[in-house]
Amino acid sequence: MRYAYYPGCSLGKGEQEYDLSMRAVFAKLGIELVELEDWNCCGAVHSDINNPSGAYAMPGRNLALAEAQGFETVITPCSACYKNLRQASKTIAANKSARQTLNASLAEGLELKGNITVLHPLYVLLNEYGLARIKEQVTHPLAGWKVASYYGCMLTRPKDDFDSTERPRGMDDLMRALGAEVIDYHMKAKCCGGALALSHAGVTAQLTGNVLVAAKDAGAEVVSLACPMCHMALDAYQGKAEHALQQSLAMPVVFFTQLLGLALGLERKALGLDRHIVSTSSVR
Amino acid sequence: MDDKTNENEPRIGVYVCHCGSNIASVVTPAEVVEYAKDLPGVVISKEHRYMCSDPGQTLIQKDIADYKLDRIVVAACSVAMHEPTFQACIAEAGLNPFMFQMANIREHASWVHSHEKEAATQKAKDIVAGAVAKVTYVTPLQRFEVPVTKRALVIGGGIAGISAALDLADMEVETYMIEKTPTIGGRMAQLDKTFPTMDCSICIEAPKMVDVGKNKHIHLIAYAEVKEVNGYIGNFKVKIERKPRYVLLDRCTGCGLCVEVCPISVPNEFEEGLGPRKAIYVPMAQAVPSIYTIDRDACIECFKCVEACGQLQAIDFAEQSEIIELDVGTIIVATGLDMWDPTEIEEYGFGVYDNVTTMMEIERLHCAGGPTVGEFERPSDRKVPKTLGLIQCVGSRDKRYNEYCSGFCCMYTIKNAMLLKWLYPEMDITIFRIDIRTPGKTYEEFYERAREAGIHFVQGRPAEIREDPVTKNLIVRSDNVNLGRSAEYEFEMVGLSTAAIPSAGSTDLGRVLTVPNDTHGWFLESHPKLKPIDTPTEGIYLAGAAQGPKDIPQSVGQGSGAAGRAARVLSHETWEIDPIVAYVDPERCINATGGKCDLCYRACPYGAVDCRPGSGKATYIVPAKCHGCGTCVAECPQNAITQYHFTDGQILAQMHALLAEKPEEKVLAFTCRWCSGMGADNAGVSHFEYPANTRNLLVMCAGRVDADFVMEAFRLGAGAVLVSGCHPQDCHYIDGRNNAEKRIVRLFGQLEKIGISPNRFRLESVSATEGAKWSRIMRDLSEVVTGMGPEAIKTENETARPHLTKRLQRMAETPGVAEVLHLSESARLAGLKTETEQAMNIAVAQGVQGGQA
Amino acid sequence: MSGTLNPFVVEVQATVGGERVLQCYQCGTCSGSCPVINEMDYGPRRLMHLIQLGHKKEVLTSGDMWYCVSCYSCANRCPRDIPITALMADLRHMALHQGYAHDREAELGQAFVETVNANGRMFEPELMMRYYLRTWDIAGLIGMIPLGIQMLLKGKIPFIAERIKSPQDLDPLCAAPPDSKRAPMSQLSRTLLTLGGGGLVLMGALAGLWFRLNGNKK
Repeated sequence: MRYAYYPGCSLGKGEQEYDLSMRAVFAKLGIELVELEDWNCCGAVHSDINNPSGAYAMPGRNLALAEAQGFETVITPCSACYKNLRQASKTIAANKSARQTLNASLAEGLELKGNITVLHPLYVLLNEYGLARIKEQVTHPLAGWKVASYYGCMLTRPKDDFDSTERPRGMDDLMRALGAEVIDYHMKAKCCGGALALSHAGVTAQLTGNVLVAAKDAGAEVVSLACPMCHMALDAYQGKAEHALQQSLAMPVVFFTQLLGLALGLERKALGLDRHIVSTSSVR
Repeated sequence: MDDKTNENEPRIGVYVCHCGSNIASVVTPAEVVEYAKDLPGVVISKEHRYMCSDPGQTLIQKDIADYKLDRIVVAACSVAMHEPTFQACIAEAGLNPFMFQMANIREHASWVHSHEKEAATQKAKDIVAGAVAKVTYVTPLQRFEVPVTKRALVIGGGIAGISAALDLADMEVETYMIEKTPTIGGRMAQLDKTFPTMDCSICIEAPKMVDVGKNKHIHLIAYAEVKEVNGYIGNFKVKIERKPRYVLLDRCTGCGLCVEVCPISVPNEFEEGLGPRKAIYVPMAQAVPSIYTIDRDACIECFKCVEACGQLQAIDFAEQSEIIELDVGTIIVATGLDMWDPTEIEEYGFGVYDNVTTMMEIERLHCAGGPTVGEFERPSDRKVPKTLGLIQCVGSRDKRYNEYCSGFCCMYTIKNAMLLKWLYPEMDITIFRIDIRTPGKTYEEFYERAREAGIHFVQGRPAEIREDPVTKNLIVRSDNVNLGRSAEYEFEMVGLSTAAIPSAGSTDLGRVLTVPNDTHGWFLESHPKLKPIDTPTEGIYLAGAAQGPKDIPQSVGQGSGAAGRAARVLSHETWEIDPIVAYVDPERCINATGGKCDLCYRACPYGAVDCRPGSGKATYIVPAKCHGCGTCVAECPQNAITQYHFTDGQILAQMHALLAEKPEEKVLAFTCRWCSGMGADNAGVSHFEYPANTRNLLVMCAGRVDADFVMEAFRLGAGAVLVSGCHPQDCHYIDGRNNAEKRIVRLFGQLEKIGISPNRFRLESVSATEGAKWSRIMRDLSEVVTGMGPEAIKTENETARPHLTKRLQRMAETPGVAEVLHLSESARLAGLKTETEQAMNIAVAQGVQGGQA
Repeated sequence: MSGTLNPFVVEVQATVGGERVLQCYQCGTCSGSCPVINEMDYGPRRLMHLIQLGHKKEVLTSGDMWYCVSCYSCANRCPRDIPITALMADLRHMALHQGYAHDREAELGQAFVETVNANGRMFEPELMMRYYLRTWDIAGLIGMIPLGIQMLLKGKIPFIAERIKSPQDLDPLCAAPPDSKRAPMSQLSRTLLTLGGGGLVLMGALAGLWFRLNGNKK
């Protein structure tokens, strides 16, 4: 299996843990990731603030690049990038004028001709690679770890083929396969407010707090997630959340790839587990 | 003018109406009369102030006798207006009514070209020429008769089917009722009380059920399904499969000893899974027939039941399913509805949270005959809930699931709330809704009573439900629209008012019956307002929720209505079939020589085509099932299919006449008889003017328009061509417009390739009320033609002509067409007449014998 | 057979999110689902109704679309299948470029696309600089300092911008419409931006030097 890898802007310095653990784990599983050359920002939630066609054309440039570089599938770990690229690929496939607008906005020589499939690494592991295969390679099961999976918003919404939009279970299935005890809680697919982190940090703090409190009350010892923006909110903004809720949380928040890495026997440092804001020393 | 009576030459009479001043003030009738005199075949040409009046009609009849006319053209108003009038008129005078053609010079000329009198008169001449050309080639047609079997079939034993069957029985019609489940009764039997009267449902239904079981004119076959239906109105051949109960009908007395000893319990479907039944069971106490059934999937074959049955020996594990064949004259479809499963609407937690239930489950829980003997207990702890939340429109009015409103659920939720308030006055009940719909008699008053009883009504559709893990209570989060803010409401139990969906298997049954289902799966009625009981398949009628969600009085009413529609047919010895049907020439059909073509079969929405690709047998079309759209005629790549009264030859003759003079200045518009034709008429009635360089050619359906016709029009030099039909969802023949689209869309690219500017050819949909749209389209196309100018158009046509001629080779060689194209001697015409009459007789014979040619 | 529609309705219907705005039957599922409804002036349901009535100014001056977190809960549950999240984005575009926007989030959006236009990818220091020079949100900036220090110590702050080969390729998508009526940046902000830009370049150079001296490749 060989995929184009679109890390997205957040996986640079800010959420490097995800990039490190993602590459390490996929290498360990034998899945080839080739970073897309010259990829551009997907636009996050601002892609269309100045030009409405930016909604699909800004992420769409990356699809054209993937095609030009000989790939059929792009995987991207960030939920927002995933949502943007996947929705762009769907819009362009369904709508001839969208494809034309995209191609018109691209540089000379670059053109999107066909359809590029966009997948999230979680569902690549679940559907294409297979849980059974992963389970075989687990050397350090997360025995008894109480893991609350946090899906956030854009991993499962808008509605797609991979998981429920209201009660997703993909990450939970993975955690179960790694030996963890799955903690279910009603905020697992509710918004962290990450989009407003700069302009209205108080809102982010409140929403993030609601998620963490619900996970904690349900008995979670660690929160696993799949989006760097959610991680920034739940990890970096945990202090602000504690302040907003007037309550201590002390909840380690890690990426599902890091937990997967640990279960596969990889080193903490290699997975970036010492880079979080909230201490992950209990995650071992 | 020719008064020789050569029986092989047409003798056409042309009559130009003034219609008072409606026509005469714009078109000059005298000019048209003069012009018509010189048209080939015209013997007499006259005018009259009011053709449709008695004197006008008498004039025609007298001329038929005096001049031995055999074909008549009346140039007047629309076919929709007076075609039947003149057909009856000439029939009285001894002519076959199909030897007639209407030329619309009012709605299509005088009323829309009042500012171009000369051009309007020229157009009127062309229209008459077209009519004369077509009528030259028409043949006499007989409405043929088929015998009627005086027996009725009712599929479905719910309240609608029961109503229909009892009415038919009262008319002494031998009626067969088929029911899929082991007992009749349907949804109504599951209800506790019925709104708005609050009478006990089974109490009012059971007597009718018993009636059906005992009635000497009704044969009830329960636990059976319809597998195959062949034939047509008056003559349906139905194959029914009766599933084995493993309990013999003629021996079981319903004593129930077997149930007592059966060790297996499974959820009872009748109780929505809330209560048990044994592997050997009757679904409910009042079952009709009161015979047990063994569910072999649950049964462990311990045979204790056999032992208990003892001497009666009513249990037979070796029983096989039985195929029953019936001949019936009419079929009534009364298959009812199911309730939608709300598991999909994940935000409500049905199937995840114990205390989230459906309204039908609630129905069973408070019913004295239900699984908890009328104690309304919530699932998690079997306690009576103190607070209850009911949510409307779950899965209804929802584009993600079922777009429609299910109609009865507002009332039935209010009913459940009222019942519970009576039983448990302290219970706090809230109904969450978007609207409240109370359309029936005393329904609004019922709603008033509910409010008086203290039931809360919150306007707002809940966003999500979550559960308190300890108490198992539900927390419903909803926008309270009236208060303008969101809130959370806690309830011990929640009920979801789910959508009604068509009974499982409706689409499959639709295929078996060749009755179409609409996009949601409900059976499709012929006309939503004027024919809500008929289906496009003659002789098959709809009753009850099978046609669309409805309540009990509506179902009963429609059941009786269906019985009436069926009786219409069954009270006759024979039934007349309209002859404008399609016919396959067995010598030209490619399947006759081992071909594997089924294009006509696929195009027909009525299942009128019996097609055996690869069998060596030619395809044939059952006349009684054919509705005369002509789509198959246009689809056939061998040009093997003809449509009586709209043959290729007749249409082409009309087209040639219309485009004879200065075709490059004209717009030729094919319109369907229904929406577009009436839309064009509507433009006339409303006097929406448009230029006079436009010519209409009427066919029954846009589906009839062969790609060849369009190409021939351009080959003849037309300036622009339009094909216009109903809007696809309104097509009078269901799929005709869609088929036209698929076929004609290909032409766009092809024509452009051979040099015809794309704006010279259009495909449109115009409804009967869209006169303004029609007028606008005509204006647009007319401007395209005048804008380009005759020279430019001629040049494009010249370039295209050789390509078109080549492609039209096959059409040119088709019998019936060749004559027209070469304007042959009338001697050939006589031969043609005999051929088609013979063909008609063969078709009828084939149809009656059920397809063995 | 449609009648004449209110011009604002027509304007909204022309957007991707607003095609079916007239279909909304005010069920309230959206507002009931919205996690930030308490921050909004109206909430999605009432906003939809205001659009239907053509109350353009109220809609575009509201803070609602700027508080939208793009969680898609509303769009996912809407029984009329109205893509409300996309509509919110369209309203942001309209409000900004027709001169109605006043929220800090509007400034963030512009700062974001300008940064992306300059580099092809995000560069947080530049984003921050642009954002704070637009909003002058000193309180907010101060509130970010403790977190900033934590992130600095954990090595989560980039100093060198990652650039794509030709960032100007993104010009057509990132440039504001020529007829935009958005509020311009103040002269002071623009001057500081130029200076700050220079500062960033310097910072990048120094960082590059530091990494090279310390043997790290970046």
